[in-house]
Amino acid sequence: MRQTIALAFIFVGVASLILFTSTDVFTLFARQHTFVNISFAENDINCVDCHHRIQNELNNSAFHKNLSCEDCHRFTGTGITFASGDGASATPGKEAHAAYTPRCLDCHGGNGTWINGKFAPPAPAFNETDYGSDVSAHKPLVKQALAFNLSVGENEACLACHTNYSINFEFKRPRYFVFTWNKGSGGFTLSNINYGDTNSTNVLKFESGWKHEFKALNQIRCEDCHSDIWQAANHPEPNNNRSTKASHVCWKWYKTDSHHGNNPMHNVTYVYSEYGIGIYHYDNITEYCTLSCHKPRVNPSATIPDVFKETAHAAYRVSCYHCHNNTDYTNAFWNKPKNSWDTPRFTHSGGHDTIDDEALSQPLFLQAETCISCKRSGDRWGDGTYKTYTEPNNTMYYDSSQI
Amino acid sequence: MSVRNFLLILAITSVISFTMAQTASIFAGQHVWYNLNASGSDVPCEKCHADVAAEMNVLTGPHTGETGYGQFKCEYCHRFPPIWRRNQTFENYTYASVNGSDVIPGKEAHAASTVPCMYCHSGDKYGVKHANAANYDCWSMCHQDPSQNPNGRPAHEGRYTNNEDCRRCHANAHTGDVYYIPPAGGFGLTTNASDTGKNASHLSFVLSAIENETMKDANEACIACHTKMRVEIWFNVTTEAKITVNNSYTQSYSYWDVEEITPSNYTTYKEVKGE
Repeated sequence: MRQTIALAFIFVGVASLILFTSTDVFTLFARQHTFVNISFAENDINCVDCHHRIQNELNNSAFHKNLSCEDCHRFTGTGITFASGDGASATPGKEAHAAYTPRCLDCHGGNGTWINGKFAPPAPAFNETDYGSDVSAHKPLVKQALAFNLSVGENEACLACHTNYSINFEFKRPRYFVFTWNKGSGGFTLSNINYGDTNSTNVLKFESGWKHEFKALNQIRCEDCHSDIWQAANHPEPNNNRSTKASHVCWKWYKTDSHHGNNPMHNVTYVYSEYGIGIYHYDNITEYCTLSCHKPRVNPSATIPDVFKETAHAAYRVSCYHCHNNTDYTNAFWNKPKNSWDTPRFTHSGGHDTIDDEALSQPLFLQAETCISCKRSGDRWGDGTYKTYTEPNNTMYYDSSQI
Repeated sequence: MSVRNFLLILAITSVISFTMAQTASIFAGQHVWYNLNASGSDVPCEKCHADVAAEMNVLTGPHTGETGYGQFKCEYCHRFPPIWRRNQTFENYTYASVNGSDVIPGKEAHAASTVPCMYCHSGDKYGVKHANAANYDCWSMCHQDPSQNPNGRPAHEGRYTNNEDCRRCHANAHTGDVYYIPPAGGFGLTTNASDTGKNASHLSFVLSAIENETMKDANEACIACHTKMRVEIWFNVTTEAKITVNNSYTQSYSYWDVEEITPSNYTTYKEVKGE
């Protein structure tokens, strides 16, 4: 009985409440009739209201933090007409209403752009027709970024290096190369070339992931994306032939004869690393990668290899033979450890003088392997069969013996 | 029965008998009828929508007096008139109205409807139409004449005949000029052929709003930016890309071929506008 009475009271109470409140009418979304005044000059709708996160990213950014949202996302240099309501009149948008997603090259292409008194410099090589020469190492990434059409334009390629966007690379290469140097009366010839199966190497450039956190240029490190190559190169320990165990690059040649060489420009121990010997001529791995090979400082008054007459963005695609051939590049390159302009050693002459042509007829990725393996064998007249494993492996064999 | 109980019952019976003669209506005022005989809407919307009326007073902006001629009336939007320069995919509604002896029953709507913002903002004309004409007699001088209107009909089918109504939408007291209603261009939704919206960052938002049935057409997107409404946005963004690169080769040539670029490692974060 008591329960029945209690239920009756609850029923009456709820019914009364519904009856009382049902006379009030609520709008679906509060404040939807409070309109933002957009008649002032420029954009009056605060982007940050919805994009706090982006603002926070830019606050931690080395670049672009002094730009407004509108500087980039309502950039007028492309001919896009944005909606605007300046003054009493209004301009309807055409290609975009409030904002567009810019291509990085919208500002950094051509000869660069001035935006509100700040200069956006051009991105060398990528600002040229077809993104410049094929010797520019990252050109395929930029081209394919455009082709895949995930973001606007080539932006993925730009973001990959210049922001804290993480990249998970899978590099595929032949697992190894096998080749034979034959020494004949006419010189050396290269034969029996075989490639191993495809080997995949994963490299994770792990960052915060935020695409509006732009890195300072000295924060862009080659080894972040190419740690597999650095792993192969960073083996200064000598083998039995007193050569080094590094692959990908060599700087210490031969056994004990007069051709023994120790080129400081390519010396991996001169870069600060866990194997460093305490004399750090290169400030970091990136400086080593670029100055010693992939973007050397060239002497403008010297004869330099043709490849370096082209413009490259971050790095050149080169092999040993681009600099070490039969041309005299006197004082063409800055040798930082020597602190002077330096001349690449000429390569092969006499009985060796066919080696260059033989190697250069091969794909680029095989060319340097022929140099490095021969140097590691310690045999100046090292005809025979070599097997060289590719990055990140640094193992090499000469006639079945590990070198 | 005791005398005490008898008196108690008598008293209660008397009170009941007395009050039974009073009949109360369930809602006071329900028999005081509005006169619908005047032109326009005669039922005060603010009676039930005081919150909306209050919102309209918070800022001076679009629809709320930026023209210098006062706020829009509710009916401009919620009993919207026939507009010639609009995307013709939007229908005209027939609302219930009484104008003198002319009684029109509603069809698609009775008193009011919610309006797609793009109903008024999807034309192809913008800017000044008549310079220094804000104080002209709009209706009597020009726009009642069918030949003065682009569709050869009286402006808005004669729905508005007084200058006050014309000016609140089309004129600006500060410049003295008469304007077209500005199209919301840049999403490819206006009648302007050059309005492609192909570069619009918020295009997917607008198109999704059109698909969403919470509000009319793209209104969710429009009011998210153009009003002070609180908006909670969940962004799902990629923080990583998977890039597959193959060192492809021929007998004489090798090159790094980028085989695949795939966004990955998505993360979600919340943004709240209007707090």
